[in-house]
Amino acid sequence: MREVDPKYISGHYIEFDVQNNGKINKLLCLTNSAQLTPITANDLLFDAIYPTDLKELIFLLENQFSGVSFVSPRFRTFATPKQAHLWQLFGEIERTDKDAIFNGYLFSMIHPESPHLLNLNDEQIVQGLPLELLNSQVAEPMIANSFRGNSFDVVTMEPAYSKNGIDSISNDDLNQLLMESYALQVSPEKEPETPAKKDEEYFKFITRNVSNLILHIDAELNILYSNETDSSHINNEIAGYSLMGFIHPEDQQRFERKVQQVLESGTPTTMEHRVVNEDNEYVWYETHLAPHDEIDGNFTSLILTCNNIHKQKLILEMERDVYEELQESFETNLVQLHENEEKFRLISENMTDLVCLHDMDGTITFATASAIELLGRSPEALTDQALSAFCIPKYSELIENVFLSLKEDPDGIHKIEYQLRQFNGSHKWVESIFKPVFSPNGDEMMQVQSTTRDITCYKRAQRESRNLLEKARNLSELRSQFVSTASHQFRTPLTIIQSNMDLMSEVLGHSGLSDDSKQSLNKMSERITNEVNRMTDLMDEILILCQINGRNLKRNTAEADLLTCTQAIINRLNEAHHDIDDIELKIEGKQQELLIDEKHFHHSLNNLISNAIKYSDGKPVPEVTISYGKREVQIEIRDHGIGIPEDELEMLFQPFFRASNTRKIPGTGLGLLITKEYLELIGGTISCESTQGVGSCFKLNIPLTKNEKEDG
Amino acid sequence: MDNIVVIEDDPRISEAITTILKMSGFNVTTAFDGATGLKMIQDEFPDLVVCDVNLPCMSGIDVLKNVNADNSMQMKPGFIFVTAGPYKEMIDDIMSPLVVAYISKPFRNKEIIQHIEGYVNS
Repeated sequence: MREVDPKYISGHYIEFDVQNNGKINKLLCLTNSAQLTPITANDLLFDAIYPTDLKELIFLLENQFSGVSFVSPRFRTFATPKQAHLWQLFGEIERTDKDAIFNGYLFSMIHPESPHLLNLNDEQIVQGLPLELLNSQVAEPMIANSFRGNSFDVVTMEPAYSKNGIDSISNDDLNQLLMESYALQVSPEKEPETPAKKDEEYFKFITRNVSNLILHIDAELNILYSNETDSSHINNEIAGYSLMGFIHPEDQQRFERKVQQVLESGTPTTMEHRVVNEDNEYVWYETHLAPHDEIDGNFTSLILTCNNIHKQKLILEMERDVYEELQESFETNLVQLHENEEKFRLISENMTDLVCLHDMDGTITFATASAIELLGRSPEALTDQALSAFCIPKYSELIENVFLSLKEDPDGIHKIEYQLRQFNGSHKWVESIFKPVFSPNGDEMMQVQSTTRDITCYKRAQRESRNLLEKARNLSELRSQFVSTASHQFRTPLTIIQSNMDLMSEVLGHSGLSDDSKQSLNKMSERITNEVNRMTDLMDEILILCQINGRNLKRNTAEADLLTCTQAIINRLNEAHHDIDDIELKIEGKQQELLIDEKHFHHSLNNLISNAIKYSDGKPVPEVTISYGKREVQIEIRDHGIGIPEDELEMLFQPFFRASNTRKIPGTGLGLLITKEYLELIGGTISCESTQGVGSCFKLNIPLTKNEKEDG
Repeated sequence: MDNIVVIEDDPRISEAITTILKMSGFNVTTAFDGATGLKMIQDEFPDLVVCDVNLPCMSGIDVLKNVNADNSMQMKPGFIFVTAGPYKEMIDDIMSPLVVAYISKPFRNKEIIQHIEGYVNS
């Protein structure tokens, strides 16, 4: 192999020898990268086409198609593979095929993107030859002078278009012309020797510039060779390693099966798999597996051409996700649509409400099937009639008035309750709601829609509950009346006892009884009087409790401000108890007016403060504090008296309960209950903290906003 | 000696009141219903009336109203109501200057005497 001076090389062209019989003997590929490397025919092939097309070409070659003409976007070449080894391949190309190869070569030389190639060495030949040929339109064989460089000795060119009957050549036909026209003969006399090392380096160089990862692996999946492509995401120096180390664990089994399949069948195949690098990142590859090194019909290795498809795969995955999402959403919507349809069907078929359309005068233009149920008439029987024709006469005007008021106030709620007459003569209570239906532009009231519902059951229930309520009220009133009368009736005998007791004391006081007897008499009189008083108090409290329980606080009961009322109670108690210090009223927070029912509040609070005094004999006076909050008022009554035993605290508000330490102090056992019931009635609460022997503290919380229950 | 008319339908209570009043030195006449009581007042011009509210024929309140309205009477008696019912508010509502006191049953004898003496001495 002769050396070509790299300085002359700036593009692609092919140098090759042919044998005398016209067959190509040897090929040499030069590239524009100013490197000259002797190569095999295989290398030529790589160089001649774009990497993206390489796989397809290899495929064609390896599948032993004969006489395949392969066109790449930039180059045109031809191959007749015998085996995958292109050296052999090209050596066996026939003369006619050689034309094509040569055409490819020339095409390369004068390719529009590398016209400067034509400036090589001999201007006469390199510049003149194609132009002359193009311009001459002569179908004569031409012999070009040899290149002056070292690359060619003799170049013989033969325009071939005469054979194809091409008469004129235009620039547009340039490629075709060249393809068809030339044959090349290279002097066979100087046959170059190709050093194997150079071939290999050149091969490496070529394969470095392809984006594919090309691997040669043996049947045990050991990597024998890897090209040094920069586009692979894994380290290039992987020759000698097992390929399995780079295959994603989930793909390994599948990969092994494929390799086995290719080796056994001798048929190439393609698969997608993931390749893992040392950082454990994976990338999707599409790998073409071709069998190689056939020995006695068995293949011992494989050529793998791996194409990085990660991006496409990701896009695909993304598209799939989006598609799945869309599909899912579509299906969900579809299901919902079906559900809605079903619901609508259910509603329309089973709707018991009667829906009618009326013209503006009230005449029915449409009625739903529920007319049968509600009126015992078909929807058709309703059309052209007014709704008032089907009601009890006394309600006709009510319905007619709705249509009048609809015109005046279309936005208002027009709801009426009345009785419809059924076909069989029975009556039904119904409720109708009327709504205007406007023209599409919303300007004009076109129709009226009415929805009529059977409320007979509701009316019946309403009537029954009203009756029940009435009965309950009557009962409660009766009870109050009874208690009130009973209280009155009890007072008469008590009055007689008390009055006559007083008289007896008076009469006997003036008699000649001894002082001792008079003293005993006074004691007895006092006991009777105390019991009469206790009876009276008990009756009073039962009466009040009955009033509170029956929610029977009279609405016209005098109202007073809480603070004024509290102060009055304290003043009165201070007057009544000269023997102790005055109780002072403390006020905290911003004072606000709170009107309360004077009688019952007075009774409740008076009871609490009286208790505090009553159970604090000989101790400091109780403290009363009113604290005004934002939402409620708290009244605190704190005493330093006998306190309440801890285990009895929870029974404090039970009727007639009296703490075990109060036996000697009179009381009814109803006072606290009345206070609690009263506070609950006005939405308030009462709580008590107490320690026996230390004192008690009652807290009343009363809302500042008036509770509605009080009016009930 | 002051004259007092007692209008009380229950003879036992009437008797008790009459006894107390007589023991305190008052002249007492008694009526057992409202209408008779009113006539007695109009005929005898008492100084004071001790009156129940819940009475047959005419209620104590109506007796008061009638006396209030009777312009033929030159001297009108004071009224002490002695009652078992919740009539205080009703009596207050009449706002009559004749009402001296309102006493709830059961009462203490000295309670009535205190009110009468207070009135008589004023």
